[in-house]
Amino acid sequence: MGNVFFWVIKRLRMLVQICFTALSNGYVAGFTGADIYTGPGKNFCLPGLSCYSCPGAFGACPIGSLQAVLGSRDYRFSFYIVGFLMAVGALWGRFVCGWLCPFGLVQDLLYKIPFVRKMRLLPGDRWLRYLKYIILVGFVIVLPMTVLDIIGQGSPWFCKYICPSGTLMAGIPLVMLDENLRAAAGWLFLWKVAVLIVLVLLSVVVYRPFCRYLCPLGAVYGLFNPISLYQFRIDEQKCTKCGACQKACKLDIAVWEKPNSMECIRCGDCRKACPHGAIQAVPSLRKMKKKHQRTGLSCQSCKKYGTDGKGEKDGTI
Amino acid sequence: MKGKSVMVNGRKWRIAAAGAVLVLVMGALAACGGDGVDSSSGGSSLGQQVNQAAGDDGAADSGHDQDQSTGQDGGMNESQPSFSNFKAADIDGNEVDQSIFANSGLTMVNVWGTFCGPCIKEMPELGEISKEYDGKDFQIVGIVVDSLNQDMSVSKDIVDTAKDIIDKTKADYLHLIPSEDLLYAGIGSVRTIPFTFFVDKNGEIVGKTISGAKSKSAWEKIIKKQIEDMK
Repeated sequence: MGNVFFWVIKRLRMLVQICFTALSNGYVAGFTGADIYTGPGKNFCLPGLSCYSCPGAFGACPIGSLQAVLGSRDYRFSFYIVGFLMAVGALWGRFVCGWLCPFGLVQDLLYKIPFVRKMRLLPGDRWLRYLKYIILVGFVIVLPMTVLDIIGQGSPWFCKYICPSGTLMAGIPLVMLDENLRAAAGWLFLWKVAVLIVLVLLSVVVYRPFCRYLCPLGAVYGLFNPISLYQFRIDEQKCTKCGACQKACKLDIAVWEKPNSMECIRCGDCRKACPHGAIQAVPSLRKMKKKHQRTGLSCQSCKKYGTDGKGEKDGTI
Repeated sequence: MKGKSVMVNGRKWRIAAAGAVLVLVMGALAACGGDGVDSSSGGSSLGQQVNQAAGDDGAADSGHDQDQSTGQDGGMNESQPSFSNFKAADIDGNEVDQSIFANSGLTMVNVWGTFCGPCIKEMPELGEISKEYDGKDFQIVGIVVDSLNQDMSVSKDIVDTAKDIIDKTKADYLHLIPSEDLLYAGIGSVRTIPFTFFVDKNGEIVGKTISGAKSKSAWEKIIKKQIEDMK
């Protein structure tokens, strides 16, 4: 019985990803009826990049919804969606990316495919990381608000020209299931499929290229990473700066220096790799340790947590 | 020996746990499968109707003989709403019925929505085509698919927006608000817009349905061919 528990814990993130996606995008009748769910759940945003038009989706995509509001002629700002993004960001930051996003799951699975030359970064990584902010400002905010049709309505530029999650989970299934859509699909659909194919191929070579370089939702949540409630803390007393965390990190983040980088998706590989257990996720259940650190005294029974300077790492005074 | 039995037990538990998760997930999917489906109530699939009409080599009047495998009593029963037998209102509130099609040998029905960019984009050209065919036994009729609220009442805001669009695009042919009859006749099952189909003067569907917007020259070709086919 204990073996099952450990088996689950070892793969907890992937199991959570699979279960959450199965629940959030599990409207089977959408696939069988070549239709989308239009019930009350669609009034609510899902935290990850899950297309509103996916036949299986029960909720709406926050990025898609934001473009719809900004592009409409009646509204210029959405308190609801921006509030949602701020709340989720403030609570969890990019934890959503690592644990709750369906397209993140797709990229994780693709990366598991063996490939002779896996790359840690794409060339130009330092600059490519900023591309997602340009996409956020340009394609999600500015273009829908400024390029208007004859009655002042804008288009959802990110959804229309870029989003591979929408192509994979909505565009392709609907075009396959509905003959009218098949007839209407043209060059734009071809472009979207090409974008998807490039990202799928890249995802086998590099870990999560879309999340690192292109995703506007990740860009938003990433801004909150340094200040979110869910944080990684480095225990300075335990950290030997050995760099094992950075080696284990598939995004090549120097965790020992920057545990709450805007790029971090909270996969937890660094924590598993640390030989000294120096990386802790907070809020955590390990209250004991914090209490000892606060008092500044060396506890008689567990001296190693004392911060009065006298305690040494191996516990002797 | 002890180690071996622990290993075997562990494997069994893993399989059991995986099985339990699978059952739970499938249970969740099945339970959610039937909820909140927004299906077109009772209307036979417009796509199917037209495919069947077209399947008979485009001969318009053999539509009656088609075997409608939708399981419905559809086309032949005159008391069922259809495009040959309906009541509706136009966007100015005037009542209309199937006699609007009697004016013209061929009517092109263009289903559009005020939120739909591509629909609005092709409307100026549809307006031009409509004027070019004025008095030539061909007309265009629009149906503003989002002008009804969920409770089937007419949304004044949407109708105002529609009128604004019609003004600006100069697509000033007749535009209808979908009524229950029209929804039943097939508008309720339209999933993608703009959606265009043709009816003859009796309201019988002829020719192909077209999904998506088209250029003016593409429309002119399609209309010419449809008129030819009907001769």
